[in-house]
Amino acid sequence: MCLYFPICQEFKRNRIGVTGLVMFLLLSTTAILAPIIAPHDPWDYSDRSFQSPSMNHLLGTNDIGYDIFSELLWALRTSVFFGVSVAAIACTIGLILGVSTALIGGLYDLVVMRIVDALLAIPSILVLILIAAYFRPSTMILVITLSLIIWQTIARGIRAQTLSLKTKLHIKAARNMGASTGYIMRKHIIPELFPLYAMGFVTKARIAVFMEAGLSFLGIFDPTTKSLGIMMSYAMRYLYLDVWFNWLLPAVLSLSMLIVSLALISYAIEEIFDPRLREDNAATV
Amino acid sequence: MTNVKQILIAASIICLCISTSVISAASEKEIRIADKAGDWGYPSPYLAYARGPGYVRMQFIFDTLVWKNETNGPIPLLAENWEYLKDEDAYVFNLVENAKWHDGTPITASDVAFTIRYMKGHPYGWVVLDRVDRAEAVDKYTVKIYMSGPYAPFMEDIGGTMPILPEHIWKDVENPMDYVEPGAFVGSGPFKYADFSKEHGTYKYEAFDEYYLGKPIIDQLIYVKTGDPQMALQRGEVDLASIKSEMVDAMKEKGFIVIAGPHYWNKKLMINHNKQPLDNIVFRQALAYAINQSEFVDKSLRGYGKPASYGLISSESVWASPNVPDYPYNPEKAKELIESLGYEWDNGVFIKDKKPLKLQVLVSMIGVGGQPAPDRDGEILNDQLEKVGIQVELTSLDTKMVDKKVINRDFDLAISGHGGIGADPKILYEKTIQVPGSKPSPNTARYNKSEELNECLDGLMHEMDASKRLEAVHEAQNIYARELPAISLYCPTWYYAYNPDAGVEWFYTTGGIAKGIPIPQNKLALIGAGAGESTTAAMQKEQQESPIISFSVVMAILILVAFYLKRH
Repeated sequence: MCLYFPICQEFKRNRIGVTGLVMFLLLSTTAILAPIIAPHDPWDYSDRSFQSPSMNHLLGTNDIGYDIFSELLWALRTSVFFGVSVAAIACTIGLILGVSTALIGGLYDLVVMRIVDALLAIPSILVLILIAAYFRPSTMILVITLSLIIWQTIARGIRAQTLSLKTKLHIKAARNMGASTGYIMRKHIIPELFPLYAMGFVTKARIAVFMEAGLSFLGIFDPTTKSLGIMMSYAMRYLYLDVWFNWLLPAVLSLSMLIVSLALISYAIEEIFDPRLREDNAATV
Repeated sequence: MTNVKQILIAASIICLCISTSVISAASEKEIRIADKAGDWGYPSPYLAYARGPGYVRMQFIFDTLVWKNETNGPIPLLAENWEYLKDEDAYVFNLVENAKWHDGTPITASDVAFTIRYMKGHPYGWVVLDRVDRAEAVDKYTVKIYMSGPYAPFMEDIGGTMPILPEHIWKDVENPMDYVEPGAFVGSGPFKYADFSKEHGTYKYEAFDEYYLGKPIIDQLIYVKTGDPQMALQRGEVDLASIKSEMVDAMKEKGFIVIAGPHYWNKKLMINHNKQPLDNIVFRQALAYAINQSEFVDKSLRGYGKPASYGLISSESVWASPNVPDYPYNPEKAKELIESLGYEWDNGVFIKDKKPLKLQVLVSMIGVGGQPAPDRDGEILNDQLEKVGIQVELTSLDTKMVDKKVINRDFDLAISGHGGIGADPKILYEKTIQVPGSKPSPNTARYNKSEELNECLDGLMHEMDASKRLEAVHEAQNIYARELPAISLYCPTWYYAYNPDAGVEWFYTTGGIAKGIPIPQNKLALIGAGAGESTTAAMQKEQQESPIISFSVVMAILILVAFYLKRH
């Protein structure tokens, strides 16, 4: 039986987690299918500005004439892409460095952990703002940059857990039976660390989505990229025209839903893997 | 009897109280102006920030030699008349004889001569006095300013912009930038300094009763910092505020008077003409054909503006050339011109030496009056250039970074903007070639490749004959539009609205305040010498009469009461 099967069963029973997952899947699917389901080209500004919502333009048009609904779908796509990519890269780095430092130890462990300490002291949002404002890298470079500065908490958690796992009997038994470090990592440690990096993934994705929206709201992202932050920034300029309900609100709701869905998933994962947080135990504690 | 007497005495006291409050209310008339930024520095020449709003706050306290109103300029202010002596290359100004500083000291010619000496020693950002040799007080009210060479923009550039300083205060000031003593605010303008709060961004001025052009029609002028000036105006918290273009009709319906500003500010495309292929005039002309100015106006301004003149000077200026070369939107012509430079059309992109034609476009978020605001110009330009086969790398940077890159010529194209295109045509000189001895400006093309243009620009700076100068200005615009050191895109229309019940008729100054500040807060509107002379004079009369009437009524009541008491 799959190692993750009980976890899946547990997750299915967790209503918060399921709600979060369904929301996230819905938003992600919409984002992935944006090029197909968007009714208009989001970069085409040939339409009249400030049209009210209609069958042709579900959320109307904005100041320049973009179809707001199509722009929203593409902006969501950017947010999901940014969040998932940053989380994936940061988790991979955190996992590799966390496990390897715990298993190899010595000078390597010392150096990596000091780097982790140093990175923990640097506020990642400031670094990202400075890099984005002065070097104007592409979205992909920003994804990598952000991943490189937010992996440290995952690495630290994974290292601590691996150190603890290393002393467990079944690992010792495997090692005594001649299993290599690679084999132990692949077959025992990485699967058993799943809760940690699953949590890390969701948390980092949430941070990345928020940072992307924040930076583009500040206007330091490529202005031609479709982004929820840019949409909100422009919509705020025209609040006096009563366009908040068809322009600002959908962008704010989409961003909130994306962040809330990730938060619910992370809450559920934490609850599943930390028995102290379960409702049925809470009463007895 | 005693009761009647007591009631009457009480009634008299009540009447007296009411009348007194009526008198004080009638005499305290204030005008409030909304501002989003708030802090523009202390309202003193050296302390106010070197931006339009900073100067505007200072001009209420400090007068210049000459000034401008809604339709004319220069008109007399501290100088009642003036003359240019060609033989001596000097200006003679005769000052008004009843002008006083706010501390009561008379204003004399030696103050003007002192100001020039002082500002030559302590440079003042708004005025460059390199062309002025010296100034002498001929008698108590006559000052003669000797030039070191002909300088055509003198009247607007120095006469109408340089605030006159009181010699008896400033002669001992070593470092004007650190001088924040009460003396720094003693001026000759219609208003006295009362208060400034940097934290709250508020300014308060009080009318100067002994002002030589007459007492101002209001007692207090207050600047209020507010996040939403338009809303503050609608709520009655202020009397004058800038409003959004789309709200013009709504504000008119609510009874406000809306004034549309002249088109003296332009958004323009800076071009690095030291770099290939932008160094080629034909390529720059191709860019001009590829750019659809009307689309910028329709999309970026939503129709509230007009296409800019390719000759830089505003088409509404008296200096505008009637036959500036035009580049009507024609993408096919643009493609032809690019092809003539050896580029080949390949799948929607021009290619030369196997390399695509690619330009980097820097955008910064300069908005109205230099305030940061996101806009759509970069997106529109990106689209328009890609339609004629030019690949665009659109880069949005912090305003200061864009300025730095433009100054270091580390760019291809950059969207920038500046005002002053309705004032003296000196702006054409300043924005085309680097003024010797000045810091490089991010809005200046620094283009001196055309001898013909240099000659015309020299003419507009030094030709003292008005008609010959106008000719040089026209010719300079025509050559500028042909060679395109930069491409002007559009001029936005800005709106202000004011409450007519407040009794002040605000107006936009011809050519802008001083050197061309497009803000409708000319001090003349507050001393009844501006556009609304009749209304403001009537207000002044009413204000003077109302306390007297109220007082007469009170006195009459008291006499009647006294008479009644005596009889009974």
